[in-house]
Amino acid sequence: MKKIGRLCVITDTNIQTKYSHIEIAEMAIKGGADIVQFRDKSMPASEMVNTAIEIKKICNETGALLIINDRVDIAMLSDADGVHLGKEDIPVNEARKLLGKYKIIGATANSPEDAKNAVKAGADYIGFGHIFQTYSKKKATPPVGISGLQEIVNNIKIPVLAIGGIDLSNLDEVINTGVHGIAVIGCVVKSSNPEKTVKELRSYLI
Amino acid sequence: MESNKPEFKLLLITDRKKCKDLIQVIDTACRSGIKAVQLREKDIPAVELLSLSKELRKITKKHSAMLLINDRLDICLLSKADGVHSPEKGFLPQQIKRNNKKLIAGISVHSVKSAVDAEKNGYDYIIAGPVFRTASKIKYGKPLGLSVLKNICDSVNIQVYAVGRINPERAKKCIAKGAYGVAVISAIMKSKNIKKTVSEFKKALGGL
Repeated sequence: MKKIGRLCVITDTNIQTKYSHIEIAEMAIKGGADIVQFRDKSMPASEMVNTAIEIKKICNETGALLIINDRVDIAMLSDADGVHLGKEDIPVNEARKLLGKYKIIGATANSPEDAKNAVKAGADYIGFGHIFQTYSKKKATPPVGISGLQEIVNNIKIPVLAIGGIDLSNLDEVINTGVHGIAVIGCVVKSSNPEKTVKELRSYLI
Repeated sequence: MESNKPEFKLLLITDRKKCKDLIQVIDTACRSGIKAVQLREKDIPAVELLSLSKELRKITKKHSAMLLINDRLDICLLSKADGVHSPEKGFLPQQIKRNNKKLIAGISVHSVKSAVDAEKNGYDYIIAGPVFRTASKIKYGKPLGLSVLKNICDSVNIQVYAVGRINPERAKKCIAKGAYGVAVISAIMKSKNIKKTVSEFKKALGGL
């Protein structure tokens, strides 16, 4: 099985505009994140490739993984470690044709059924959520809660990253489910000291 | 880098919102002799874009027409399309051709300078516009007009396709200024008689 990090920071320049993708990646890596997920839905393609290449260099300082959200082509051209695919993105089995067996493909799941389908399609990890209420995305479904997460952790054999509203106040109960790791956005990029917040999150995930 | 000269004169750019049934329109257009289609649907999720692209690939292949994909190399590769069309800051030709050097790389330009840059960067063709005033491209400011189109055509050796409210009559004027062909959306997407429209373009362009 591929080595999947346990603390994923997603770069977001929608819910905040103070930091760029590269700045968030720098703070995440300094704080000890072992996955950076680069997500931008509106950046021009050539700029995305260049930004991804810059983030990859930052990740290489510690051996952290760079995962690109949605865009398989950007992942190929920047030689990222993989992609994260939402349910409306390119299907996992199709992305695999382009990326080959060694690259990492993560898939979003919001239900046990999604999770099983993602495993069947060949995903390397699942991003499962949203666990709690979140302000980074408008959600179509209610939060899955700790019990929903527990069910997935008990039944899914590939690594699960819990996502959605996770911060220092609720991290304990998330980790107590035995989940492989977490993905965070808001609690880091909206923190008054993002690097420190990542360090604190990291201290729970040794 | 290998250059892949496109041979079509009329490029049909899709806009599903301008017609009732996109598949039907593309099918009729291809049956009527169109040799190139660019899939450009910016607001649908990738999973839907991929299945639409595969659908269009079947139709275009049957009629030996080219299929180009706007801005997404992954969708192009997975649906075995013929190339990628980049918006102004889209993928570079060497990126588009990295995995398959036979792919065609095109780009949209709105000035003489970006046309010259596009050729320098190795694109196979450019779409220049809007030549005439168009509601959908208002954000690009004033239309280029036929004189700037002529300057663009005089400044590059790669094929120039004029875009922006092109009808058969205006297509003729663009060709007279040095354009190799034209790219159209509404003229065909909204046409009540696609076969007739295509044949009018064929006449104006001296081929398809």
